Amino acid sequence: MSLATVVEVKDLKVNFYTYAGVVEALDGVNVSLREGEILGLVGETGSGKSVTSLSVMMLVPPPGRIEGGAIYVQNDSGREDVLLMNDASLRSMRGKDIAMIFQEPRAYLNPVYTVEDQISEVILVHRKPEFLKNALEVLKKKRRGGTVEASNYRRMLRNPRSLGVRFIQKFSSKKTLKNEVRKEVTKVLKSVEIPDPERVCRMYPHELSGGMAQRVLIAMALACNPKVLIADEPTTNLDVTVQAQILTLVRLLKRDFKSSILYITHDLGVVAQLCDRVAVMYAGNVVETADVFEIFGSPFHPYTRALLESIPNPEKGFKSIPGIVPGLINPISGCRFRDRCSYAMEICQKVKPPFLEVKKDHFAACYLYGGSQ
Amino acid sequence: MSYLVQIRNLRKYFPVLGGVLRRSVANVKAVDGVSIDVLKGECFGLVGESGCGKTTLGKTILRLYKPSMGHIFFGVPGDVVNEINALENSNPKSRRLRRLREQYDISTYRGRDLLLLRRKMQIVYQDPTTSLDPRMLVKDIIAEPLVAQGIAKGEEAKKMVLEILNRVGLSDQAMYRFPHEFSGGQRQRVAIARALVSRPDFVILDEPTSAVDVSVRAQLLNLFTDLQKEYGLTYMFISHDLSIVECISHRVAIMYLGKIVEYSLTEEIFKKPLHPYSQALIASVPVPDPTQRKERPPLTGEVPSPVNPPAGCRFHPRCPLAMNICKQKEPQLVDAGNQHYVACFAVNPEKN
Repeated sequence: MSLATVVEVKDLKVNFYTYAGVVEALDGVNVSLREGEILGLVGETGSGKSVTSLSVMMLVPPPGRIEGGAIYVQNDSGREDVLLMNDASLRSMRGKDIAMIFQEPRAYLNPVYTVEDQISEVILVHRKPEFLKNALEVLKKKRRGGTVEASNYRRMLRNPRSLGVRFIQKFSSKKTLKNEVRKEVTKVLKSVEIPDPERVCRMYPHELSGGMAQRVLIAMALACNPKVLIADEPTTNLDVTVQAQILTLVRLLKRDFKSSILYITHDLGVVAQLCDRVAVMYAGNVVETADVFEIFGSPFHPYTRALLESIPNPEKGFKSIPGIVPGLINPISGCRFRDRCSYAMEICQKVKPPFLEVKKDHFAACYLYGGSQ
Repeated sequence: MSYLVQIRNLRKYFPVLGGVLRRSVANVKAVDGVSIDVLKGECFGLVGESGCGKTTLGKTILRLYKPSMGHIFFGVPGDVVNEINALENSNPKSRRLRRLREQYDISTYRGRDLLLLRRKMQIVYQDPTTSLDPRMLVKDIIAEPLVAQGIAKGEEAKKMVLEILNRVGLSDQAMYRFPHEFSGGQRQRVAIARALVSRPDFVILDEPTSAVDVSVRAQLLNLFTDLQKEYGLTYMFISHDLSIVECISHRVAIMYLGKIVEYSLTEEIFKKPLHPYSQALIASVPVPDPTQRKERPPLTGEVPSPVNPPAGCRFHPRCPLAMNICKQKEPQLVDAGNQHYVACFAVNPEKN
């Protein structure tokens, strides 16, 4: 492929150390997100979709720990392994290079701050110098370049981390700066098609409907023009009509902002409508990765096939996958799908099938398609 | 075919309290004039966006809410219903009407009558984690309807619990476990067992599969259809997931802001929806086929508040076909032929 990868997850292993035992949540996950594409990450609850995305941001909550592998992220200075970054560079990466939106928008918005407060926080953390300069220019135009406010801005620009400046920041007037940021906030809100952004700015999260709150969260994620956007089931709790609106918005983001999007969902309909490529996860493994037309047209892995057959269809009814998702504490040996798989062979019990390129750009982890040697 | 549940002009308003005296200042019109008939042995689908009043309608039918207005008839012969309707129009204060209503109309029932009625109607809720008591053993959860109704207790109840437990696909050991020890799909099976243990005729399924995964969802839906055949159940299937409703229901009603906008046979609704809202709703469902992509959302805007719904047709601010009359008059459900009822001026102007 000519397209560069912006995020590459290699052999990622994540364990959760619980009282009941070690949960092997991710067992060697390989995913790569290419520039300008929407990659769908599909799987059932507990398959490790969300843990994968949280690992990319280094946000795996304790008792979870990343035990191995690498996550390469393309940023301004080149390719970097997220697992080796220090806290400061992680902080500057989150929100600026990679942004994330979540399933439950209201849970991720602070109920005691207005929409404007919350979006400007993102902007001020990552893009403060830019807005300080803008504010200074505005003051100069008004012939107020010599005021205390202006000199404070200059000081903030010169040495943002000194104690004195931090003190000034707390107590001096920042009216012009705030105005400049507010303009940017309304611009971002407008870009996610929120009607009347000036009014929405002053609202608190509880005043927003579910679809609106999700738009605000997307706006927050876009405030710093991230190259990569991770969307963790952003439409799961929304109605179909609102979901259709949000999906259209995500398509627009891809087109206008040239973002690469990792879209996590369990809804195969959404995947078919939105994604360019698909990675199917099962019990902590990626079992198949391919182009969306390939996945729906000629899926290889038995799990992918079973998943596609379980979509309700008025003509054929619904076929269910027998059995349940295996527990991840002391998971079964070999292929984790083998006891629900109708093609299971002897080798499936012993060794985990390798993740191979079966066809050009179509990867699968199943002995039916080679790898038995 | 006879009707099991007949609803006439049902309304449920919730008061909005305001002011120092906490007086009612407005009403949330959650269900506002709904009339539907559910046939015996069918699965009746009820579809709509969140906040349109589907769950309230379901709960009002079960009398978990007291209706503000309207009648609910359960297993009442059609001629009685017709007589009540006729009397209501001609002589609303007659003694005969009052007696008939007290005898047949569930909305007037109280106390013991209601208790006996609930043996015949049950509900399965959306989220089994919250609808099952975390401190009760599964055997006690399932036996509770039997004990409350005085149907059985002790060994006899245990036997019935075991039977229904095995029928919904859980093992005997499940009896002595707590709800948290089960997966989401199994928990929903416990909830189904609890609903069915008193052998009801009518079960309301309130989004029973929205909290479980795709593969488990298919298992549950198959279980529902099997149980329906085995026990001769009548379902009301409430859901916002149109693809499921299309598979499981015989007839479907589409609700918008407290009102039914269209109802008909499932195939009719999904093959040729007439109401612009139904069309948009069906077009919004993402089709699991990448060769059939839709780039534009069929509907813009959001559902207006049910406290102050738009005048005239409630859909007119979002409707692509809105005309002048839609802002002034409310369209009535009119027969468009082939058991297809729709409330829209644009679809059949002459009949409204």
